[in-house]
Amino acid sequence: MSRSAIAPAKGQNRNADNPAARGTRPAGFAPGRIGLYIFLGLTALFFILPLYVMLVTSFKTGEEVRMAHIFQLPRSLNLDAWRAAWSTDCGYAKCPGISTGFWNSVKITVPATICSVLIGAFVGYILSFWRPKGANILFGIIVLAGFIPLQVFLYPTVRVIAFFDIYGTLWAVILVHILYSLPLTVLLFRNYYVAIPFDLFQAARIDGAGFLRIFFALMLPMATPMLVVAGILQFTGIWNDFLLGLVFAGPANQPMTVQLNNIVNVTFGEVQYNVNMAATLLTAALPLVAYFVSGRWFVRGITAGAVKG
Amino acid sequence: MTPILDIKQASIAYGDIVVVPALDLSVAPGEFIVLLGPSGCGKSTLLSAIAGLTDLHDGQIWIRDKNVTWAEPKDRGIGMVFQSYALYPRMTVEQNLSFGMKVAGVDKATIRSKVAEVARILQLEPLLTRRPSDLSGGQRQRVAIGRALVRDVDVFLFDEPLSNLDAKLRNELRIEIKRLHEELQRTMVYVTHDQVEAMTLADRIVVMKSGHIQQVGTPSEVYNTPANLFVARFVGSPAMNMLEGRLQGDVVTLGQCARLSVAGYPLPAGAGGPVLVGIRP
Repeated sequence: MSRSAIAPAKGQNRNADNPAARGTRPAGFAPGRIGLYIFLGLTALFFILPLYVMLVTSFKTGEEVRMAHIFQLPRSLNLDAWRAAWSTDCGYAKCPGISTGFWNSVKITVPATICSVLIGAFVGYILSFWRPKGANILFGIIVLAGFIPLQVFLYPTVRVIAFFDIYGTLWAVILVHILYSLPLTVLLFRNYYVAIPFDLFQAARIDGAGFLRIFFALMLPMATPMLVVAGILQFTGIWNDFLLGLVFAGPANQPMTVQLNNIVNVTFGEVQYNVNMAATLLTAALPLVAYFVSGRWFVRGITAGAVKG
Repeated sequence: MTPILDIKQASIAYGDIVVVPALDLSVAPGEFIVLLGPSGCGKSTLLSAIAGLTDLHDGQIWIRDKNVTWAEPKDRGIGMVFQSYALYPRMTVEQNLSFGMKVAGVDKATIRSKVAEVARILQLEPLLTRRPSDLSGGQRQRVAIGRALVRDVDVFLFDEPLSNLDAKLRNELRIEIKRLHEELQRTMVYVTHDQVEAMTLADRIVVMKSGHIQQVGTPSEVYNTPANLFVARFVGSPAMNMLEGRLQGDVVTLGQCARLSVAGYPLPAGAGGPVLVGIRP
């Protein structure tokens, strides 16, 4: 500890009325603290250990995996499993690996994220500032819809999508993702905009700005922290989705998660744990990167409502 | 002289609650009008109705011989300064000042000269490239005033513009606003609950209470000849002392024995009986 230079002699009382007390309070370790750190350490271990096993296994050869020392480090950094997962292996047969799934996921996630965030911001803006008649009831219904599990709507949605004759296409899966995301994004942006002083909106009206101008010139730039938060939430949520991709995308557009499942759930032959681990890590990589890159913004956006300015 | 701002029988209601019942007020061109009253008296509501941000329940608002009752805020020929400044946080001072003109499609050269002129009047030149978050409270409010000034309008509306500032700045900006009024000779409608601001700034003060106008008059009229008890008690600091007494002729008897001659005061003819005597300390 850097404070040790000014730390008092052993046994010196740091809590009670001490006439010698001056300046920075000396650091100390209470037993409760130690217990706390042990608990936190164990919790962290609980989450890190599976990740460690995955990482280590993915670099092993098939022979090493069969030795069943799951915590042992690999003898060498063997990239065969990663290569197989990315471009050759599909579980039971030779095929392009999950790289096609990766690009399918990009094609689904990017437009669905952008659309759901922008529409959410727009609806939130309308509900907070223009307050049409029944806005609160409408908002209540939107939020309520967000609480109902989407599996409930699955069959009716399939029928509707089939009616419009886009079932099994990229459009279908993107559209369904946007629709199911709206309750969350509308909720986020509506609550963000409600905290912004109404005077600002009125000042813009006096300046002559209209419905769209106020949104694009004023309210959208102001919501940058929330755009980042909603963007990350939507990106990770849609990327990690399995069900909607499985049901709506059709065989040609299956996202990465569905292909990963195809690789991992083999019904015959030998289970290639190292390839499975590599494929799983590849699937999880992009959301992780997105989170790390924008983590600072994410925290700032989450707490934006709490701190003024 | 025709009034530049004429409010005719205006009433404002939120749902069934009438905030301002049928109110009349005429403002002459170049006048500095202060709406004074305790919080919740409807003065800010009235101001936002003049601005067109709140709809009237009944009545009319005329600005420069045009009925603007149903007009959009931008078409009314008004500029407004808010208590919370309401500056656009993601824009620089210059962009804040020019936003309205940009929306209106004014050409760039005009915008630049207009912004430069207002910046000179309000001494904002060194701040033009800064964001509102980098400004002090007083500077922010000067920018907010500037945003109203560039609009080049007939009537300026001020909604408690100084109440978020500390006492020293409040004094400085009060003088600044008065100076602006004298320099520009524009009509200003100014809402405040601070009677010092009202007394020092106003050509005429409108004292309001629960939506009703209590008295309209110059600061000295309101101070010296209050129309009713409310105005007498509300205006003046320290407050007026109220004593019960009896009036006989031009002598008031206070309590048992104290006698006070009120000969010089304008009393209604034949007044007498129990009275309340207001004495300013």
